[in-house]
Amino acid sequence: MLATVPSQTSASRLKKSLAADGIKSNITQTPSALTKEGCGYSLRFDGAYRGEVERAARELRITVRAYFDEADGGYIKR
Amino acid sequence: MIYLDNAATSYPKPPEVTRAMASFAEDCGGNPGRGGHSASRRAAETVFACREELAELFNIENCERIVFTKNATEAVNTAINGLVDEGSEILISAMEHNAVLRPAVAREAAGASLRVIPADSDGRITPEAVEAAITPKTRLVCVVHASNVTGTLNDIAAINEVVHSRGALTLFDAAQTAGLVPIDASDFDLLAFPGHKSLYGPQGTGGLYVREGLMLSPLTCGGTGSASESPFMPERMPDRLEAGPLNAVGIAGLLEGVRFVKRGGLLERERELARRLAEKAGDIGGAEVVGDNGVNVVSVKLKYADCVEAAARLDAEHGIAARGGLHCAPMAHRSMGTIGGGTLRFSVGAFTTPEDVDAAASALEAVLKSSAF
Repeated sequence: MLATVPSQTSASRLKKSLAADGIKSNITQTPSALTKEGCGYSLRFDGAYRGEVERAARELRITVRAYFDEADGGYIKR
Repeated sequence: MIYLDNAATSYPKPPEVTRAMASFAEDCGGNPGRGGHSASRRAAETVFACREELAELFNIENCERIVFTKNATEAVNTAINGLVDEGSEILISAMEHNAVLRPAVAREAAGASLRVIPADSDGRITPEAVEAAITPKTRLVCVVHASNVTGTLNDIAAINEVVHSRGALTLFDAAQTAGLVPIDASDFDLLAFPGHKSLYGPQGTGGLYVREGLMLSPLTCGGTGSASESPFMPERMPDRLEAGPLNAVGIAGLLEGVRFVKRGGLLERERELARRLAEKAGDIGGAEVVGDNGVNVVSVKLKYADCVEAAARLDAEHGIAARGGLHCAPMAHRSMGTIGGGTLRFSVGAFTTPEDVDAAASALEAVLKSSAF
């Protein structure tokens, strides 16, 4: 699953917070098709942890713009 | 050479600082926040690590509120230009460096009002003096944490409280203290700091802390690697105030510098060395120590010799690097009565030894003896 975030620094903070809870994630550039804003960054993680990601983002006051599932070579907004 | 100009920039740097810079340049080289490839990601990890180390050092909860700049001057300019508009009032202390005076005067020329908070005889800015100067129109109060001329340390926590009680914002210039004196910036509005002095990073590094909820107009606009479709700078920090590529090689060095100072013990050691030098210099005929040497600076007023020439002779004849003149802080020299010829400033660092300090005092005595008329 992808969570699109406002900046590289936000992504790094979120990644670190999740890692502290043992949740692995990677920072990736947001695919062009998923954003109307141009360049941006997202966090890729196992969708089973979405609740944890939402909680961490809330605690860090990071606005996750959208969540996307990766399916059939494309993305579905969740 | 005995290097005693650490208030201008620290030298030497810890070896891990230069190693990290070389390693970044040779093995990484990516532009942080510009792309998704591994070189860019690794560069971003280095920058993020440095942001986090700085946030921890200054007790700042959210490292996104720290913006990298090329020096403290750029940080101060970002703060002043980003907050002070036409019709608002800016207060600066009488001990400020030109890094603060000049942007403040430029804002005055653009329609803001500028007033100066007087210093006491040691060059100290008291909370009482700040309180007396604030008016209902005051938007921003700028005070240096420690003077680069006298080394006099100000109680910025108390000043912060006074300013907030009167509804204004604070900008503290930690050019001489960041990395040396513990700073808790959690209640401050803005803190400007250089990376290349007591944080032991390379020249070309520095930063600005901006309190949560405070939105500054950017000093520079441009690419941020985020929200690229918008013609406007993003609101999100740090991107809002970080247009264009960062000095990632420098930040890689700064990261190791911050880790170096976090090992602790530097303030006590440098203060002791500064006081040792002040005591010896004060015993030399024709030399008068100015200020209270609260940090790593010893400034000497020379009665019978030119400070710039004395510095040149210390260098040429004794291999000692010290700095004579006004130190880019004419207001501070006016406050201390040294505007005529300035002072001869020695500033110790992490690698200064007691022997260095003793050699400097002996060399100063020799120079002054042969300069006296």
